[in-house]
Amino acid sequence: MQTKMNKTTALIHIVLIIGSLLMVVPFLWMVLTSGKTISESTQIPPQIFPEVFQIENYKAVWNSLPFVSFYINTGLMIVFRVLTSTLFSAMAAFAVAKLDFPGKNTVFSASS
Amino acid sequence: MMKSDVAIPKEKTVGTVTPAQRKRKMALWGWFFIAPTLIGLLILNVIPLFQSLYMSFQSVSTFGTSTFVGLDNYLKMLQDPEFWQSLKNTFFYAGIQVPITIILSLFFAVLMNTKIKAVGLYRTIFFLPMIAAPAAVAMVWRWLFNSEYGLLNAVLDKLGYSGNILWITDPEVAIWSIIIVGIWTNVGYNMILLLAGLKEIPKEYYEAAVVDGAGPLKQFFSITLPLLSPQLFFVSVTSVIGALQVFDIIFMMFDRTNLALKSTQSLVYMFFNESFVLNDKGYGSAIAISLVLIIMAITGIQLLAQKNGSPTTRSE
Repeated sequence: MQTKMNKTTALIHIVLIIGSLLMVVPFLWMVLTSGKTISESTQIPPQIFPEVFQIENYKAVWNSLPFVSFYINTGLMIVFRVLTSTLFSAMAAFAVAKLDFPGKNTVFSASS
Repeated sequence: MMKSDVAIPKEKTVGTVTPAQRKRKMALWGWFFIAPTLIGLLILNVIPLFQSLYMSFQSVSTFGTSTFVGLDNYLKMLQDPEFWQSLKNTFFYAGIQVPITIILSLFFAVLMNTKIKAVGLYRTIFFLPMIAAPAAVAMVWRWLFNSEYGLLNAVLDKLGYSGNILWITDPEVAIWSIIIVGIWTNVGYNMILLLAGLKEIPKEYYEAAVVDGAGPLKQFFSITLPLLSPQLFFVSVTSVIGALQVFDIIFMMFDRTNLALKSTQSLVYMFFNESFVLNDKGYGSAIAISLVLIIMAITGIQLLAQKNGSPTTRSE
């Protein structure tokens, strides 16, 4: 009984590990490719690891685009979007769930 | 003083209000609370929808002048083979992507609902595609799908399949590439939703089933599936809507000159193309409105099927 349980657990792990690999590989490939030279990245057959990780790629990208303001823009957008949508959703949810007022059901069914 | 105080009727006491006043006050607060959401919906969803509807009856020129043309855009659409091809592509994509995604999500959710170690790690990994930007995801897959130096063909080659698959340029294969990316992106998110549903099913049911001699398969079909139906319903409705609106994967993975685009472009892609590339906003709006109607019809059918089909629906 104990060994049978262990076998099932092992099988579940194997299936989940295969699934996880399928999920992770594209990301891993992106990271590895980001460190390759152009000839390494278009080689046939593909080379898995870059000879030397080209940190220059990151430097080039950082210098060619205004990343600092990109990050600031993204940050500001996230802060205000999360704050307003959470606040307004909570307010609307409270009104619909706890208060009773004319037109409530019409509004609720129309917006959902 | 004391005596008159006692004699004052209740409704005149400071601080209490009549039921009518109370109701008015509640209504005011209610509308105050839902106002931001309602105004947002109105400005961002309802008004544009009606504008599209209005525009779909117009012929809009490049310079913005529009004339009323009645149903012309719709008639043009019904006679346009490109529209029917896009409709077919969209249905093909949704019809294959959604069932496979839901079955895989359910499969992995059930596996993760067992008492094994490192469940948190698996859950995080499966959720990764959801936190990546869709445009970035499409670019990575475009790289993997590359027929010459892509990883996918290299792996297939190692496994003994020597045929060079043209993932993105072969019109027969290209739509399957989009389906693969669609499944890969959505499995994790749906799995988390289903996993939350699985956790709500009381363990006692399974214990009772074991006592009654039910095997794992019987347990799955007699307990898990029926009790999971609210979550499955939600997942299938949102997945179908999402699949029918597929756009960004196609937009990022296929160049405008790609000949396979005709056999992969979705309705939203065609809408985008007509409205913003070819600048025929009237015709584009007609396509958009038709998609809205299709989605409403399909969601309606799903709602009806849910109401009639399952007696276990929790009506909250």
